[in-house]
Amino acid sequence: MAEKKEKTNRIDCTSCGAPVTIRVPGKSQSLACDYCGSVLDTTSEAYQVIGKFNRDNKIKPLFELGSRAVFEDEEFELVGFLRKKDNYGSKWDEYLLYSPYLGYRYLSYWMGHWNYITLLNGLVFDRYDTPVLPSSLSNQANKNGTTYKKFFKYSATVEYVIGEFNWRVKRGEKTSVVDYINPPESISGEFNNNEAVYSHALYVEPPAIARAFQYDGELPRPVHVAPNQPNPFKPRFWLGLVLGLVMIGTVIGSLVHYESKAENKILYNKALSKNLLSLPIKREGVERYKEFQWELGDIEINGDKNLEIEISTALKDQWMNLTFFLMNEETQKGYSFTQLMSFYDGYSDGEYWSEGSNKESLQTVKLKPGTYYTIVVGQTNLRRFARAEIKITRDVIGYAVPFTVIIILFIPLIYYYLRKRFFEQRRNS
Amino acid sequence: MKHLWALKYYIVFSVLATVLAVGSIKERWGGESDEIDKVNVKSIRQNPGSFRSLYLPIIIYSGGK
Repeated sequence: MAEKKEKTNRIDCTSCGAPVTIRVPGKSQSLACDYCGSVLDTTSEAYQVIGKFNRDNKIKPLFELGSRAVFEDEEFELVGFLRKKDNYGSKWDEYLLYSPYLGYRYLSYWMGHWNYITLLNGLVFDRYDTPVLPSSLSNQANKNGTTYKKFFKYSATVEYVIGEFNWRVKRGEKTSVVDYINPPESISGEFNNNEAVYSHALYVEPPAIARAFQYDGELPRPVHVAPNQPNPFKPRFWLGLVLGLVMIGTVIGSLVHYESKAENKILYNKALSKNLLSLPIKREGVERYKEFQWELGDIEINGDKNLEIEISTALKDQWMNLTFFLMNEETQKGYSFTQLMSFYDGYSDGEYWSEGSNKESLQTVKLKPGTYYTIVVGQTNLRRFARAEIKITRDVIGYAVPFTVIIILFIPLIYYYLRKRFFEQRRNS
Repeated sequence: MKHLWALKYYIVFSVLATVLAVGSIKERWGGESDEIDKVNVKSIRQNPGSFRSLYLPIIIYSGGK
């Protein structure tokens, strides 16, 4: 049966005599001979030559005519191939597929990107409810409740054809095309002097095309960004944003919750001074310093709580190292915490610089409950007076780690946002 | 989808970072301290001026113990 059909549909090219096959008799209107490039009129048995394409540089389609592919759960046969060119020099391929049940469909191919194209019945309207035309001023079009954004307007010319088509293919015929996108979909209006044709395209990843054709090889990898290619960073950005906001919300919620429960009790807040004149100068390596101490008295820790020690000094090109000794009379145990204060500044090449700070704070870990007799031992390169303001607060929330985490949580979001944006820039370039 | 590993890392990373932040708030993470052991606080309290000369070397040389 298949042999008979093959025989019935095989004709000789009326231009060169080469055998050519009509795959969809009764449906196709023109047939391009692969050997000589002549286009034959297939609507009559005279198969009159109605045009001719150049065959100097033969183009080999990625899939041969007659190949079978499954789309929409139906089997299609590849019946035609065209190469088109726009007025900016860009070229792309179109494969014409035919199924006895679904009719004609197209596959467009450009730089590794594929689109599955269906012709639309009826008109496509713009935002002013007027049919989309090349002269449309609207930057959007609507079809079946979906809004598409105007992307590009250009003119297209058929450069190369093989196989048969359900229209009369003419060499050099120009059409005006307007593309509207809503990735992964797009709609196009194609216009010539006689008619307007609207089509819907769905972006298809190359592996899906290979599966449809049961193609074992590897199709060319996509390069650049196709007009209706989905932005892979968009869902990642939104997922990351939702996740990031949930996490940041959790951190901020914890801060608010524990801050409301924190005691924040000021236990000590005094400006201290020490006359150093009578103290001997000590020496360690090249460093010369004086050592002194302040007795702060008892610090009460009621429960497993921490301390925040804030220190203010008025140093200028000087340093002061303060070690806090907290000692529990009952247990004869304690803790020591050290904070180095230093501040240097000056001008270098006319520019002001500074190093260190006159304000520092340190937070302790949770301390065991008890009364702690506290002594501060200081070393400094000051010679006459050591002065400092010391404030000790009990049960304080630390903000450094949570705020650092919040900032760090934003970094991947910024990365995904930039990748998403760069992808869109490449789409429009 | 390519590069999904980055998203997976981000999910794991953000959960861990959040746990770390909440833990630091709850547990009052603080700076490093040295623990002191066996100090005669009664004696220091009676004569605090001798702390540096009598007790500080012991604390320092015993590594806080």
